[in-house]
Amino acid sequence: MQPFTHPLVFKQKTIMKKRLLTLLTIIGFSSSLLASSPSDSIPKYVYLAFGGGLNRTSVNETLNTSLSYTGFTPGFSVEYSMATSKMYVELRNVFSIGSLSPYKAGSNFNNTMQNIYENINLNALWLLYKKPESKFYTYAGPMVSGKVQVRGKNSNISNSAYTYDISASFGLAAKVDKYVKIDHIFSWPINEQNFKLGASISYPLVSNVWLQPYSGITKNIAQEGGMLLDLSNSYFGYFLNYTNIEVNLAVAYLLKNKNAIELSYMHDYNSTQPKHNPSKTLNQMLSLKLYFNFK
Amino acid sequence: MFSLVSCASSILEEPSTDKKEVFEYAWKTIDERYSFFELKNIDWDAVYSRFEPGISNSMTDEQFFDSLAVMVDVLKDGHTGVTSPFNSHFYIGFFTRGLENYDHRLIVDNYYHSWGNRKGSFYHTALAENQVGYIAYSDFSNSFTDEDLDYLLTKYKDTKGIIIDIRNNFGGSIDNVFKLTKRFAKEKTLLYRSRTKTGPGHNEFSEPVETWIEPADSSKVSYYGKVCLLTNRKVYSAATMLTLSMRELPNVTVVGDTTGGGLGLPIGVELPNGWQIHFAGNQILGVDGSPSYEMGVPPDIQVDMKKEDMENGVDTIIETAIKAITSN
Repeated sequence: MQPFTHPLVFKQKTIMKKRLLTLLTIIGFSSSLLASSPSDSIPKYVYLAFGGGLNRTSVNETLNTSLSYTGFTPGFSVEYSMATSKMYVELRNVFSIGSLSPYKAGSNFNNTMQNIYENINLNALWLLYKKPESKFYTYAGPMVSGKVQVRGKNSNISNSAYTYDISASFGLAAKVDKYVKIDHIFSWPINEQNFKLGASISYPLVSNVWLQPYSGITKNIAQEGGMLLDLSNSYFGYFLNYTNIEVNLAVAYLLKNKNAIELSYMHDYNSTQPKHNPSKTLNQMLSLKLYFNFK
Repeated sequence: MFSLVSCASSILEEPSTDKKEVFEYAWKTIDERYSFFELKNIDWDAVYSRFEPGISNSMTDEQFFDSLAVMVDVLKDGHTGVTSPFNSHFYIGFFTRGLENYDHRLIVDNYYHSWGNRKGSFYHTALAENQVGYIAYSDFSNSFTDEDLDYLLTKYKDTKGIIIDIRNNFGGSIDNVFKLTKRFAKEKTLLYRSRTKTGPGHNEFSEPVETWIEPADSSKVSYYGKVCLLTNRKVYSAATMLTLSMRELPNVTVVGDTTGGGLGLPIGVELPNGWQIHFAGNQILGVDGSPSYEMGVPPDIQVDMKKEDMENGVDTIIETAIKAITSN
């Protein structure tokens, strides 16, 4: 027996659902993938995307500073994505560079940090669950990633001014896509527009993590051609000593020519826990991406 | 989702101006990373006991800065200091362990026959009736080119020897050590060893890494005749490293006074109030494995400037080097 629903309540619920969906769409909770046509039972496409935006980087490292640093820097991305009836493959590169300042520091602080962030991610995901009637698709599979963060401080700390954490990881990734049609903005009717909402998450299972040695001074620095960075110092990372959670949220506006415009948010949390000098970094990038369809 | 977004605030920490906290951080950092406690026989715990009771938030920033400066001076290390937006402090006492042993005006008045001969960062002239070439290099922060060295070593190639005067050279880039040394090296030569801190213990170091020098390639001018390297107590840091390196070459004689030392490369940290401290973070060991050269590299020929010589316009150290070169 169906529970009784008062017609007025049903109408209110429908309006609330539309408003919620519209609100979510406007504030950017959506997907990073685009469908060639939301009418397909399974989306198939090949996209090349270029993006630009603002990245808020936050750093808490312990090797050469007791200060936390944060700041907004320009960020850029290039992305290749391809979906078949069974798989989704994505190769994405995100790059950001700029200057950070000590967190909540007074005017008498003259410290600054130059930060470079590089994130290469390859996901090969299988379509695990689909609900074509509601245009909902779930993918999961392996991922490999390479992440680089290099930091240099402009303060008087000499040979130990540079720090970095570089990781090469193998792990798991998952994503969900939901295609929607919007014909209202709040209570205002509009021409029907196609959007895609989605989210993805990746987490490394095993990694190799490269860091500056204990004192921030490399063992070959006193040799001819000695370097300030030394990639011979690394450790094996797993869930107990290395955490890297990357979440991507996006809303894509699907154009009639099968290209798309996407507003996306990347949340990349990175925590190294070596024997000495742990560090935490967070990159939160809001960007606008243009997707060009090649299929 | 909210917890993920809130991670930014969870990893960011506000700086602290609490002077006790800043002091603790400074003391502990040096305790764990400074590389010469054992060599200098410093009781760093005693330093804590001596200074910590005097630290309080009622101090002015100037007073607190002075306290930190006096504390790091206990290390007696020219690579140690404190930097704040209003002041910088470096330990400079390393060159007071001996005589000055250098008088620039005396050299200008009595040895530079044509004052102003300069190639790159080098001042130079011929001495002892053109039997000896004299090259002065007073600041490793000033770079030079291979062409500069090619010119000088060609100009003085027919002399009996070359004097390289690095007195009063406080150091700078260690790249200059290799660029210079290889011009006088006939064979591949072991110059020194180095090791870095690997943990907080005062004696936790990596295995020593050897530093070798190859002779300069044939496209560059080399000099295998007699070379005298002039040093005094103000030869510090990379200039001391040059002394430690050149002394391993069989054609090089170090003349003058023991250098000021300062072989440990400086590193540093930012304190919770934004100030910085810096100090030596590794050890350079001689070929014999000894870290003692941190306190200075002794000359092969120890000689001080004599007062009566100076009154007569004579640089005793230069004259000793000329004799060493021109005598058979």
